[in-house]
Amino acid sequence: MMTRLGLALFFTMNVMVFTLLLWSQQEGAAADTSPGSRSFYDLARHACLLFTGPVLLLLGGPLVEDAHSDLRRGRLGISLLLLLGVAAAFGQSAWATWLGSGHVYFEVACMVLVAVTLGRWLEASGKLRTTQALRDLRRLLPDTVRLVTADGEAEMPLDGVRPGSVLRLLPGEHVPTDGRIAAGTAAIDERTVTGESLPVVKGPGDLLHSGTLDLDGELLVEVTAAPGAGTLERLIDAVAAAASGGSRQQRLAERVAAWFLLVVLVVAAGSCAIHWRLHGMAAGVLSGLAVVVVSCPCALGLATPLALWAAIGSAARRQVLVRDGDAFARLGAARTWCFDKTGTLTTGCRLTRLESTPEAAAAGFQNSASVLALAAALARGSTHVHARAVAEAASDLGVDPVAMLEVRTVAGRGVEGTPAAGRGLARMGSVRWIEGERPSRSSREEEPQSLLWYAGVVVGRLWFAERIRPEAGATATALAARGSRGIILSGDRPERAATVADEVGLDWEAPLLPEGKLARIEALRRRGTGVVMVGDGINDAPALAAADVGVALGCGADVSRWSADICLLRDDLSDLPWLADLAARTSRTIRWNLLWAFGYNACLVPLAAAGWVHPTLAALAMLASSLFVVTSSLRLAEGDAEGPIGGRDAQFAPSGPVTEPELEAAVTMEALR
Amino acid sequence: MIEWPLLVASGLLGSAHCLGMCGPFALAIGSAAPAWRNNLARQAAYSAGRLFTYAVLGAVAGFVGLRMAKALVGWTNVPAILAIAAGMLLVYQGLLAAGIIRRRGVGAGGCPGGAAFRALLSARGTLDVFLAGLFTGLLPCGLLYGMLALAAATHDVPKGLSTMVAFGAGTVPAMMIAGLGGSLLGVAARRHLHAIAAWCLVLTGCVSIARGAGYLDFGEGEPAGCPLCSPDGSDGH
Repeated sequence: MMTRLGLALFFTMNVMVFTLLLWSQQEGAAADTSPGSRSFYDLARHACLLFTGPVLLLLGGPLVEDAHSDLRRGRLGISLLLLLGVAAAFGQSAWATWLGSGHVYFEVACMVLVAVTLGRWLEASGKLRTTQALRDLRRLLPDTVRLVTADGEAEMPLDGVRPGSVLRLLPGEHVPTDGRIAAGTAAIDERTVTGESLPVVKGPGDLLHSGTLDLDGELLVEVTAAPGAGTLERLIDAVAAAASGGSRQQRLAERVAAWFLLVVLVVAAGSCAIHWRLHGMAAGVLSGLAVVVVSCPCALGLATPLALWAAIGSAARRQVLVRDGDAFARLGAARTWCFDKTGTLTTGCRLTRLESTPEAAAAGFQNSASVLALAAALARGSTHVHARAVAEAASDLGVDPVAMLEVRTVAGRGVEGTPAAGRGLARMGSVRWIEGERPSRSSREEEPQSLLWYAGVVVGRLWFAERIRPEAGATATALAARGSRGIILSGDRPERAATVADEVGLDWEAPLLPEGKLARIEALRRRGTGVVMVGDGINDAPALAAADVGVALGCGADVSRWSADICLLRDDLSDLPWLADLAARTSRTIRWNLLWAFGYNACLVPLAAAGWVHPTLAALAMLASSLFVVTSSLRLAEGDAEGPIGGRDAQFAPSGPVTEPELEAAVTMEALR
Repeated sequence: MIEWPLLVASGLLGSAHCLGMCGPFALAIGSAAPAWRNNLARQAAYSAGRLFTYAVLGAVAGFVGLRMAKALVGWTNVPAILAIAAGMLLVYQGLLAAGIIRRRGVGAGGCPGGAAFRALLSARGTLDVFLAGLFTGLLPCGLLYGMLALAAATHDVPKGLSTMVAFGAGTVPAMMIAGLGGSLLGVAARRHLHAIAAWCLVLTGCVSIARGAGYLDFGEGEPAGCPLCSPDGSDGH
């Protein structure tokens, strides 16, 4: 492709030099009819003819195919018009060269072909660049796998794998498709599909997602999903569908472009007919050709999709997956941001206060630290959020848990066990479990609390508070700086919602039942400010669906169960202002692109129709216009994208240059479109 | 017309400062050919490609100069203005290279064809390398713009073409050396060469400005006596 284009450019440059010599001769000595001058004319013309031939052969082919496929489908496409124009320009020039008199337009034929090919190449290459992030993701999957059969082990292409096949996976390899571990244990890095940055240890019977990374163990994996149907592929397909599919703006742009094409055809035909009648065939062909060339490939049709693809690709690089292009477009203009509290603004719990009771001293505890040491020992036996908070607090304060004989969880109540050097059973758990049906009414009753009980008496009271995500405050500030209002819509008690809201810096409304949340979102939407709901992907599904844009954290690996328009795979709230900025920038870029495309066509098409734009200049103008749209869109794809895919983390950056076959395929696709 | 040797010298020395941009291309070409003889052929093909593009650009510039001179005849002396503009551009480039003035930020955002272009550079065939040279010749470069303005000042297609060929020929040795051996010169020597190159550009620019100013002063007559201008090249207007 590049070689063909390069050679054509080389021959075209030759044609240009001889054409310039011809022109300058005409400029300098219009009346020079000396034999020397005549033979020079002839020489230059024949040289032009000689060099134009290869250009037609090299670049005419795809245009002929394109025009042919248009004709077969009964459509009058722009390719056919270009082809007619080029053929006419070449035919007339060859005839003039044969006769030895009259104008030649070899440079027109060459320049039009080169510019159109270059324009299409530019467009295809731009599209490839914008979808680079998604292709980077796809490159995480290996090309070949190690298939284990009764006869032994064989390397084979990934495509040959079927559900039920058993594969051997070595440390450092990516899981090729979804499967279940048949043998072996390994730490798996799942951040590509779940966003979870800590490795997960998996063993026999556990499910593996395609695209995740085996960090340290050799595994035998029984395939459960055919290649192409794994978790990662479904994720990529969902984003790709959002990028290429049904954005309303995009459909509008396509409709406008279709009408525009019709207008161009009519204007070109009219201009050709009028100039032909007034100034002869050559003038007619040149002006018609100039009209077609100046408006092709149409920047109008390119403006929206390129920018949208670039932005969605850029988001994917940061593990923000956009499933709905329209929602993404609405995000930039949204001015009301609603947040769910638990699990969205907060994550887990922290121990805020520990009080040892007067009975503790009698039970042998010298201070709070010794109470915490017992609590931490019990906490080891449970995965409850309060237990984890206790364990974390103990380790933060450098308190070693006491040795325990045994620890067991009492479902729904707490945890109990016997200290190795103690006087009987110890318990940590809910107030109701330890104090019976008669919870004491302390001033702090609104805060969640647990009791520590030992040898028949309560020795400690532990209070907890929700842990606010560290980036929540900065996120709220950034959104406020954008002129947005943030509200917490919580099902929790008003005091707790207020505490979080104060700390983060948002308004709040609580308690709201799920229906209440829906009603509130509806009411906010009626004000017309554009409502974004940020929530948990599973529990807040109805609220996410009701908002203009639903943004979810904790989406999980299964894309088919996602209810939100946009998913923050990394569970990082600071992606929100970034995303809002990206959406706003995308809208701006699309507007500028459209404005440019419209202005450019509105100026140049009439000029070309009037016969004031030489087709060679038209070709250059068209290239400049395409270049403007492509580069302004590509600016959305670069910049501050960071995250596990591409950018800083080398392990996840298998990104390579666009390969020749990829480009070839894209250009062919373009020709077929 | 400024003497050809001075043009070649501008290319020769001026290209030392361009190695920052074009040097990596030469290295990329060399990296695909381990044997130096093969590498030499590739470097030559690459330079030929660049030279060809410069020649065509020179012809275009010459024609543009001619058209402007004709269109604005009697209104202003186009070749003189162009010569002055070219001179100023070259002086600017020279001062940039010498580090006297600094540029704020570097443009050149994403080049959509960059990847495919890299593929051409490291391709095996000599033809591909020649084509890579052809494309490289189109890369934006301040020195090139200055020289093109100079070519336009000739207001003649063949002369514009040969101006650029002379300049391009001057850039060949530096690119060949960069592509063939990395560096034969030490850091200090290169720094000296760099400085000389920068001031050589400034000198070429000054000569061009002086010539342009001479044309302006003397209008249609003979140009002012300028020690660096060749008498046979100055066919005046």
